[in-house]
Amino acid sequence: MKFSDLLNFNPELILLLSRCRIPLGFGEKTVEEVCAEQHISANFFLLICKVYSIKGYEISREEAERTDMKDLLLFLSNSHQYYLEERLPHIAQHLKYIAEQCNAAQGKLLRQFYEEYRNEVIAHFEYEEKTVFPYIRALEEGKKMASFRIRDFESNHSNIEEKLQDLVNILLKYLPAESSPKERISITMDIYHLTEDINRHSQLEDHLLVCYANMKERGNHDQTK
Amino acid sequence: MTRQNKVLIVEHSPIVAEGLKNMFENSDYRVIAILPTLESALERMPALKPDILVLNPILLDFSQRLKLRHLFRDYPHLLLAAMQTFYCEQSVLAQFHTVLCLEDNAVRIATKLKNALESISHEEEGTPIGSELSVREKEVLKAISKGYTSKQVADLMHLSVHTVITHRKNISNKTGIKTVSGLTLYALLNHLIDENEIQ
Repeated sequence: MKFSDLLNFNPELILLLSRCRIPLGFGEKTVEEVCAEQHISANFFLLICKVYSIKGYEISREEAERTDMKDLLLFLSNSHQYYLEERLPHIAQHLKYIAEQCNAAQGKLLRQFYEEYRNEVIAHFEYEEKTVFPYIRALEEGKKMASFRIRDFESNHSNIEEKLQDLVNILLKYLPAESSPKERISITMDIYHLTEDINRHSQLEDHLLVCYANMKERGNHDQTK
Repeated sequence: MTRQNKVLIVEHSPIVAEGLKNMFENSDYRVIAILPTLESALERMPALKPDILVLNPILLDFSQRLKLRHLFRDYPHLLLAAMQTFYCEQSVLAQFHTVLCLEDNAVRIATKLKNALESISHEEEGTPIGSELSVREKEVLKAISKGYTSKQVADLMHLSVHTVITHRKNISNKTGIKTVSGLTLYALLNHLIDENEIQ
């Protein structure tokens, strides 16, 4: 399959390219060729394309088992960076404008609200980067870590979308009608896209990371027997 | 006989409209008017005050097709029945309380309407979604916005914690806002609290 056909099929996939370190200018190359050049497994790349293109896509056991953790962790980390450095500041910029149009107290609280959300997201990503991802790497190298189990991650994997949903409701329903309506519509679409993106991201974490770690933990357990 | 339900038929095909009218003869339902378009129906709704509106979903134009409940928002007790003559998307039909088909006979139609009327009266007993907060809920909301926990609110208002939690659930259902900071912002925007009260 030609790489460009994939993007014609779903143009939104273009947002995944930088996170997979795939540069533009791929000409008539195939998906396999482009992926090989960037040292990323074509199977993995196609899997994330499927997850991001098909709502409710269910990752099969085989797909999970053949996923290379290096590819996955790199993609997840790059996505975190993309959210923090591109999406959140973009939404913050819109929100700043909207807050300026409100009265001082409301504007201040609106900004505070977003700041709290941002801090929550940062803490969430940090936990993954500093605790969960190193654990997966350790498992890959065959090391054993007694202090952490993947079920700790499952029970900690909190819902960071709740605040975003609240923000949408406030922007749509409760800000005075006349206050910057265009900005509010466009920020709502931005938040919608971000929420969808983060949902897929969580799906990859919940299925692929957890499936891999479970498999390894069971293997380790059997060895020690 | 019990009070007759007033039926307004909105149907562009005279064959279907007359057929429907015939089906309602000698029943608990009385056809008060037959109108060919939705616009004419909306215009005459206040005067006709029907209990049941039988509408062919084909008459909903593209911009209206998913906003049926909104179009008739001023008539919360109105039963909306679809008269389906062509294929129609499920999402459109789902807005109606019941769907009538060309194959239905008089008995079948009467049964469908009777069941729908009963389900409407049940619907009204539940918590109305989209309604304003009650006085009590506003009190609870104010306290939460000021940073009190559910336990503290319960002590303050002499309620059980369970009741406070129920109020909080209802507040979130009505406003769509779940987090405490979101609720604080809501309270401020609605002038339930002022800036100095926020901790």
